[in-house]
Amino acid sequence: MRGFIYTLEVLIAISLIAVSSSLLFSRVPEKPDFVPALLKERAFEVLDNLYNSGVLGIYAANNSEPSLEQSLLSLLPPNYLFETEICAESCDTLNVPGNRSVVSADYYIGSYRGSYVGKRVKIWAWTE
Amino acid sequence: MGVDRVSNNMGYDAFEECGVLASTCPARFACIASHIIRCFCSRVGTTSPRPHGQMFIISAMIVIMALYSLTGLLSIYSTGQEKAREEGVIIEKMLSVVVREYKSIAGLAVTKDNATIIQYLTNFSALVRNTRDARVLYVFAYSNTSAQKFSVTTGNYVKDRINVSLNASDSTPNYSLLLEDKTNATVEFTRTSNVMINITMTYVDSSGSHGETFALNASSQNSLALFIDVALEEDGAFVRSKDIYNRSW
Repeated sequence: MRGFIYTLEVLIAISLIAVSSSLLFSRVPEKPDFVPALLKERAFEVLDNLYNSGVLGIYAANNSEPSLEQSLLSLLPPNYLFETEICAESCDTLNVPGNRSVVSADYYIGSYRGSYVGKRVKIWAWTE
Repeated sequence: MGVDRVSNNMGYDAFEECGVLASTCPARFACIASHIIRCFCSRVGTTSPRPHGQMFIISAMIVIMALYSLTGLLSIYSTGQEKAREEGVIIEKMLSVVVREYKSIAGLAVTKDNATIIQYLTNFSALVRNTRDARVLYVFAYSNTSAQKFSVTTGNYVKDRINVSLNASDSTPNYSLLLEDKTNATVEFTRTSNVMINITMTYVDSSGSHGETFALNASSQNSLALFIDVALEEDGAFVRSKDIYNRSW
């Protein structure tokens, strides 16, 4: 009988530990989502790269979006989808998907080769 | 963790004996544990040899507390700061681009007149301000040696009304201006010599008084100086940059 009581006491203690453990560790910690931040950084860096190679200024000054998108296609990974606009204050978001998680980055162009441009190159990016 | 071995007053090792006695007990954990505790207590002379049930509960509580303290280790993935840093890196790059473009616009003064540059700075400031959570303050000084004068334009895009005081060394007069948000004002100084002129701009906004000093090289044929203060904020990240750009030609 005494052994049974001890066993019961131990079982209560073990149950307490088990219940507490399950309560304490039941919530799986949420892993932070770095993908949007990295996607945004990559998109901005690609624009910066184009600026440093001297072509982004030309595209912005000439408003040549197709050429810009062609250049971006070769620089961004194939699973990165994007839409760009060369605009001033208001940019057209017609081709930006509304049902996806999209990040955007702005690249300002003040002047190019002695002429004022005053535009921003806006890129929206998302993954497949 | 080791346990100190305890001997009774006869020098008899309680652990050893209790271990022998426990081995005779039926192979049940609780029985063996209680047997050892009871035997051990009696050997070392404890007055209450029976291990009460509370001991197990107390032990359980200690284990639970230990587990609770371990839950903190699970926050290893809660790297919110790391994520904020990532956002900060992007906005910092954007800030450097904006500052660089201000300088390039000021540099257009080599081929454009002062009024045109002021218009460009106004337009670009409006663009940045209307498309981002940005605050911009610029002071653009332009000197032409053919006239003993130079102009100083202050642009306020800091989301606040500011009181600006402008004075320049070896120059007259001093100015005091009240600038509303998204406005600029140009004043003209007359210099007494063709030297380096220190322009001091002091402004008071709702956060207090601030002062900046930068130099304009009035000894050259033509020269410009741009003081730029840009602050950007996005997704909780805040970056600010002050820079001075000088050019003579």
